[in-house]
Parts: sequence; structure tokens; C-alpha cells
Amino acid sequence: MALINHRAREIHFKIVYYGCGLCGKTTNLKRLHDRLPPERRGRLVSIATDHERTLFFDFLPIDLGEVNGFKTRFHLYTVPGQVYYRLSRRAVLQGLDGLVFVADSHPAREDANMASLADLGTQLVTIGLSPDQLRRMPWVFQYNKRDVPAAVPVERLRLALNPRGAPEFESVASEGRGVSETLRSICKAVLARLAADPVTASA
Amino acid sequence: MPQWTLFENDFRAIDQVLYELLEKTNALSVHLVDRSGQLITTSGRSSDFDATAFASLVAADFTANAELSQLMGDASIDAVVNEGKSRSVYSRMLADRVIMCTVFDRRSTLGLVRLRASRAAVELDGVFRKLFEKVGMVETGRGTSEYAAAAGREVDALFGE
Repeated sequence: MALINHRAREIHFKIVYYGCGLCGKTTNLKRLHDRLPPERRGRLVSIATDHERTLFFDFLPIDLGEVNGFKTRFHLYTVPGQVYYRLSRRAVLQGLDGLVFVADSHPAREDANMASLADLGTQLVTIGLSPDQLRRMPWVFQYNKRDVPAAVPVERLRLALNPRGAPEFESVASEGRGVSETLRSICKAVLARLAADPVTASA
Repeated sequence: MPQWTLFENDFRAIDQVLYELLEKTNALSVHLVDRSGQLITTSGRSSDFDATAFASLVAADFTANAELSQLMGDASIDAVVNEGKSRSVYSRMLADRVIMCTVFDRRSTLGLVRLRASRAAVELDGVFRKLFEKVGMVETGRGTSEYAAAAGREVDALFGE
């Protein structure tokens, strides 16, 4: 839920990276953190286990600078992918403005991708999004790990995960490929939604 | 989800309550954080820590504790306490959507902060509930479209198109 703060002259958007365990959500944020100039990004906060698995979330704020008099920030979050962190994922989804679904292209992870997408649908309903809000929610799909041997064909991933034809990108997040394109796409989709939707005002 | 906007008028009532809370508790600072992890406003001293990271962690912490509370059989949770060695944080939910965090040190006490924050929460709860009743009641203005277009160009510039 975008927050427009007229006193601070700031607008914040929340984008959540979702997907099954080890699909590359955290790697996306790490590559973005590495790539962006220091003045454009904040501290990468990771709440992870000793083995670098996301325990709760990763958080990376990106500063777009001043746009029409408003400081504009995108707050990027990841969720923990493992099945048993369901409640933690729900906590991170609160107030989101856009979603990036990261799919793992490894053939052994096809079922995990499907299960994660189904879980996401359930979570979005549970946090109170109406069917209309779900339909209008900005989504982008990222087919990650395109470099693995015998990667699942994109057409197959699309058919299984993205039949509605949301914007989609192939990526190798570990090398930084497709990472910026994915973020650019979801940022623009979120901005388009802002322009199209009613806002709250109180004078 | 619908966007919401805070104008200067909204802040006048909020500022007064936060100022009184600071005065009466001798707390270091009070922060209002949206449940999604975005900082709304701050009163008092807060320049020595990363306020953006603070807001995201507070929101996640509160939501996680709410889930924990539900597991224990409670429908909701009113407050979360972080008791540190040098500074502590007392966080309380307002209007189901805004978290009020009072940061204090040894010059105050948890009991006093809890008492005064509860009273402040009653006042601010009403302010925010009135604000949220207006969600979706105002149509998007031309300025919003222009903003979105300009921000889109900045996104392109940042990511190299």
C-alpha cells in the first residue's frame, strides 16, 4: 500500500520477492545492492540462519531520488521460501504494492514452484485482498537459473505459472543477469497502478 | 491495495499527541510506522540509527508477534516490548494499521511508557480510523499521473534504459 507523506514529501512503495526455497530471491537483492550506486540504496538487512538461509526476510530500500518534489523509495523484501515458514511469509506480505515471483528453472523444482505460487494465492487472500485487488496487483515473473543443465523450457514455465501473461524475464541472478530488468518492470507496473487507482486524501 | 495520503492537517493532531507522550515519559523518541514497514513520522531524537531499517524491522517484529499471539490462542496483540541494555522500544498498534514505537532509556521506565502510550494510543487511534475511512474516496488527480510518468523515467534512468 503506497504511502504518500506530504510533510516529508515522500512516497514509498513495497515490493515483495516470492518463490520457493533457494530459487534466488535473496540473490536478486544482493546483486541489486552490489550494482546500485551507494547513494541510491540503503543497507541490505537480512534476517537469516547461520547457513545463510532466509529466516524471516531480506530488506533493501532503493532511493529513486526526488520526483516532482517527492522523494521516492522502493522497499524491496524477500520472504523465506521454505514451506514451514508460511506465517513469516504472511507477515512480510502485509501492505505490499507489487510482487515478483521468482521461479527456479531446475527440472527438480517444478513442483516446488507450483506449490509456492499456490501458497502465495492463499496468503494474499488471507491478508485480506479482495478479488478485485488481486486482479489489479502488479506482478512480474522471473524465470531464474536459466544456466542450469536441462533447464525447464520457458514455455513450460509460462504455461504452468503465468498463463495470464504478466511481464516475465529470464535470469541468472547469481551473475546479475535479468535482475535489473525484473525490478525495472515491477517498479513501472507499481507506478502505473498508482496513476490508475484512487488515493486517500484528507485536507 | 489502496494508497493513502497524509497531509499537513493530519499531522497537526498527531504531532500534539506525540509531543505530549515524549514530555510525560521522558522518552528519547516516538515513531509512527505503517504496518507495511514504512516510516510515517518521528518525534524526538533519532539521528543515530537507520530509521528506514528500524521501520521495516519494527513492522516485521510486530506482525511476527501477532502471529505468535494467535498461535497462543489470542485473536490479536496490543503491544510488543523490546528490552535492550541501553535503550528499549515499546510498540503499540493503532487502528489496526499503524505501529507507535516509543524509544526510551534509563531516564524513563517501561511502566510509565506503557501507561502514557496507552492513553496516547486511544487518541491517535481515532485520528487514524477517520483517515482510513477516506481510503478510496478521492479520485486520482492529474498530478498523480504526471508523478508516475516522471518516476517511470527515473526508473529507466537508474536501470539503464
